[in-house]
Parts: sequence; C-alpha cells; structure tokens
Amino acid sequence: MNIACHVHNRVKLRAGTTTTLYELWKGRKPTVKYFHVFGSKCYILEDRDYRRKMDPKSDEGIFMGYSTNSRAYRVYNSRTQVVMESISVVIDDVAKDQISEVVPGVEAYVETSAQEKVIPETVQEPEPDIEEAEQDNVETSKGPSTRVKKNHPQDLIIGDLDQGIRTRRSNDIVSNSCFVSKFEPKNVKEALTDEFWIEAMQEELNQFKRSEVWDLVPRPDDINVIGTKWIYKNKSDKNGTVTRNKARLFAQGYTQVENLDFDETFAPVARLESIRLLLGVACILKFKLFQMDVKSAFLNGYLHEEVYVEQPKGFIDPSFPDHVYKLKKALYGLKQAPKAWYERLTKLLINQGYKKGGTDKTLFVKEVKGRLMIAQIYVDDIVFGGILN
Amino acid sequence: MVQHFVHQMQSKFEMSLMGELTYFLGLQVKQMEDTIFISQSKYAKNIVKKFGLDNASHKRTPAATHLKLSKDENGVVVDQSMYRSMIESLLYLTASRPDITFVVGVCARYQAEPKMSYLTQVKRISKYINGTSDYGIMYSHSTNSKLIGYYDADWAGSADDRKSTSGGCFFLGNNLVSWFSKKQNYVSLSTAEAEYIAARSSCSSASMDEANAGRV
Repeated sequence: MNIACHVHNRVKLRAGTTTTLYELWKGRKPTVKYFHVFGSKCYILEDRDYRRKMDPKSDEGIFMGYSTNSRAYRVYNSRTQVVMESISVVIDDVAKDQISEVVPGVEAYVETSAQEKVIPETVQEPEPDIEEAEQDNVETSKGPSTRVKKNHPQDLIIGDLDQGIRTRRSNDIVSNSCFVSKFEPKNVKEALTDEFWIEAMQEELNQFKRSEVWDLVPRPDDINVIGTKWIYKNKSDKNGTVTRNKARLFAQGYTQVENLDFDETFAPVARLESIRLLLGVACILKFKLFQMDVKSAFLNGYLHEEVYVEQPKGFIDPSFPDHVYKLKKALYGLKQAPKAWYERLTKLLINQGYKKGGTDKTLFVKEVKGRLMIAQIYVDDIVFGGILN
Repeated sequence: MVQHFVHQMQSKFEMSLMGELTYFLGLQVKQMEDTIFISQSKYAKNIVKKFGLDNASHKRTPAATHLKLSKDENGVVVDQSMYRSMIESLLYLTASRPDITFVVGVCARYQAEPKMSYLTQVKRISKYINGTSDYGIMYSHSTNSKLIGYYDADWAGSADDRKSTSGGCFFLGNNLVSWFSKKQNYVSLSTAEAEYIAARSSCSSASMDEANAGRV
C-alpha cells in the first residue's frame, strides 16, 4: 500500500494539470529511476558473506519491493532462500523468463485488474497500484516517457489483463513476506513508525477486548499502578523467513509488591518422568495422543487481587488520558498470571469430572464406564489422549 | 470422549495448533501403530553443531570404560561459562538418552573449576552424540503393566571424596519411564551399605512413579 501511494504521488496526473503531486509539493520533478517491475529477476551483490576472488559476485534473486525504513530494495535471495534488504541490487526488468517457475506463487500477488482498461485518456501514465505498479499499459500511448515504455512492455505483464482481482494466497511465504515488517522495534516509538507493527499491536488490544481483560477506570489513590510495556517479536518459520509480527503487552510485574499485589506464584509444569510415563501408559492402553496449545493462555486467568495497569503506550484514550485499566484477567508479566491460569484450567477440568494427580499436579484423569481419558498440562501446552471410539 | 474434551476446551479458550502429538518440550514424538518413539535428534544435532564438533570423528562410546575423573589441581583452566553451557545442553539431552546420563552427571560435578581434562571428556560425549543423534526411546504395547525397578551402586567411585554413585531405572511393562544416576550423600564403608543407600533412593523414586502410574 505504501508503494502504491508513493508511486501514485510521483506518477499520476490529475485531470487538467501538467504537474504531478510530487512536483507541487517538492517543486522538482520526481525520479522514477528506482521503479522496477515486481517479481523481476535481480542480482544482489554478495557483500555480507566472505567471498573469494573467483566466486560469483552476486546472487540471483527476485525483486519484491522496497524497504520501509531505509533506501534499499527488498529482494528474495534465491540462493539462501531468504528475503533480504539490500541497496546493491541490479534489477533486470526485461528478463524474459519471469520468475514464476522459480518461486511458484510469486505471481499470486502480482494481481491484475480489469479496471486498468477504463483509465481516462488524460492520464498519461497508468495508475500503478501495489499489485499493478508493474503493469504499464500500452493502450495509454499518449505520452509516457520512453523509459517506462521500454521497461514495461505488455507481454511482460504477468497474468491475464482481463482477469479480475485475485486474492492473495494466505499461506504462501513469499507473498506473505510483502505484508510483514522485517525489523523488530525496540520501543513503542519505533514500532509506531511501521504500519505492520501498529496492526500487530491493534490485534493484541482487540484480543483483550474479545476476552474482556480489563476496564478503563479513573486512577485510584494509594494503589500501586503497574506500568506496561510492549514487546515485539518476529515469528519466523523454519527457513528463517519472517511470517508474522507479534506484539505483546506485558505488565511490568517487577514493580509488584509481594503480599500486597500478589500472594503466591506458581507455574504448572510437568515432570519429564510423568510425560514419559504418559507415553508408556498410552502404548500399553493403546491410546492415541494429541496436543493443543492455548492461545494467549495467561489472558484467561481470573485475578483475585485488584490490579491496575497503565494505559498502553501509543494507545492512550484521548478522552481519559489519566485513567488506568483495572484488570479482570491476568496479563503477561504479572507475577500471579501463571497461577491464575492454572487455577482457571484446574477448575474447568475438575468441574468436568477430572481428577488431579497426587504427586504430579498437572496430570488430570477422568474415567467413565471403564474408559479412560488423560490430560497432561505444561503451562499452555496440553497433551491428552484416550481410547478412540 | 476425546472429541468431547476438544469441544469443551475450544468453547472456553482460543486454541491454536491442534493435532496429533508430534513435538513437545523439545521431544520429537512419533506415533505409530502400537508404538511410540521419542527422540531429540534435532536438538542433539544442534548442540553438536554449536560446539563446533559436527565434523569431528564419531566416538562409539560416550566415555572410556574405566572413566576416572578426579580433582585436577594442575590442569589447564578452561572457560567456565563455555563448560557450563555445554553441560547444560547435555543435561537436557538426558531427557531421552539414558546412555549418557552417568557420564554427563560425572562431568557436571566439575563445573566450579573446569579443567582441560574434563573438557576433553565432555567433547568425547559430544562426539558420541554426533554419531548417535537418532537414538531415542521406543515405547511399545505390552500386556503386563507392572512397575519394575532396577538399581545398582559402585563403591567409592568418586576418587575425591570416596562417595559412591547409585543408578537405577524403572520400567512400566517393557517401557522405560524413569532413570537416575546420582552420587550418594554419605561415605559408605562397605559395598553393602552403598547398595542399601541406592535401594532407598530408588524406592523413593519408585513410589513416586507408582503413585503416578497407580492412578492410571
């Protein structure tokens, strides 16, 4: 989307004017030297690894876009199979063998749209969108600069011009990486400069709303209000490609005072022996074992104590800037969070007729008419098994 | 019943990642017809790589037959944090590898003042791991489900303080579920005494296992 606006400001002419928006703003003609065809083959100068004299100077790659925070290209390195940002890239827009066979799925985000055909004639150059930036359109022959013409012939357009908009394949690594941020911000200020991170933080707050974690209340007197902090983590798959930006709001639990803000701390972890025992028993009884993982487990625990936290930085309610949140459920970072979660889960299981282990408090067993069901808890991971019908 | 459990949990909490048990706490679990195999091969390969021994020759045993590590006053001092991190990584590996439990335990006694001779031994364990990273434990079906324990002790195995080391393992049916190797807390005056101490500590862990297994 950034690129679309960027290109739009530099290229598009409004009806009846002869200057681009960029010219109006900056007073000089924009440069479009760095506009390239998405998905083009490119050559990345290998300046990061040790390279011997006779080794190839560059790696082949695929041009994917621009870096959001520096003057660099975002490219997919075919040799190392990672998406990287580099300025030393030579991009070959006119290469005939487009990458679609190199990385299947690249064409997925090179989406075409039929609306291109209805662009009014006053538009000198076609309107490039994030998905369409690369599709220069030959029908608008009224006067696009020759360079553009040379670099963007119609046969270069990947996909069918008349086809409608295709949706992105959601599980595709390469196309996904266009929609995640690559860097990990250290503080809120940095994070707020990046749209993907803002989105990630919004997602976390939405989850709070969904599971009714807190209420906004006026600041109480004489009560320790705990600060909050954003922690940013990039989740990557086994190839090391960033697949998700995850923002998590932590309470600064170290400011909590024992006996005042919390009593006991405890996290439900299983002994390794009992996990192995479970495996052994599962074999003898011919169980099938399954596992599941509770999403944001600690946000599920109910709090007994009154705990107040500051409003998260960057997301302060403009009408009540001095209000604080009163927690109904636990937050990550709170001392009592693991225990609150364990209690909630224990209660739930016992209500359903499960019995808690004698020596290992994380083993739950239920028996109905001689049929057995076992669940073993390790904080937010649950292994369970039973006789299948 | 399983389906019921899944439904219950899903209605209460937001779940992610659900399916057959394949990976839990670093243990790779493979479920087959009637058998379950657990191993930490990925982890094992990683630590060998971390120590920079992935190209070293393989050793066929983790230690020499009569391993004697003792206080090495004049030995060359090596970096303590490195030694500790190696021990730590290996200790975690013992979760699925009873074969290295004893040697790692012995090497772990010398973390306070690591010397070259101990480091050589630790490296030997890593080289052994390098060749045997696919080892793990197989659980299989059996009709008896008795808990059987085995234990033994040496006598004055530690040259420094003359304390004995006891070891033991526990089977449920034919499945190995628990094992230990521990230096005893007292100096035994006879082999018999050493064995008694071993017997006592194995009884205590056996009763623990029993308590768990008995309920199932």
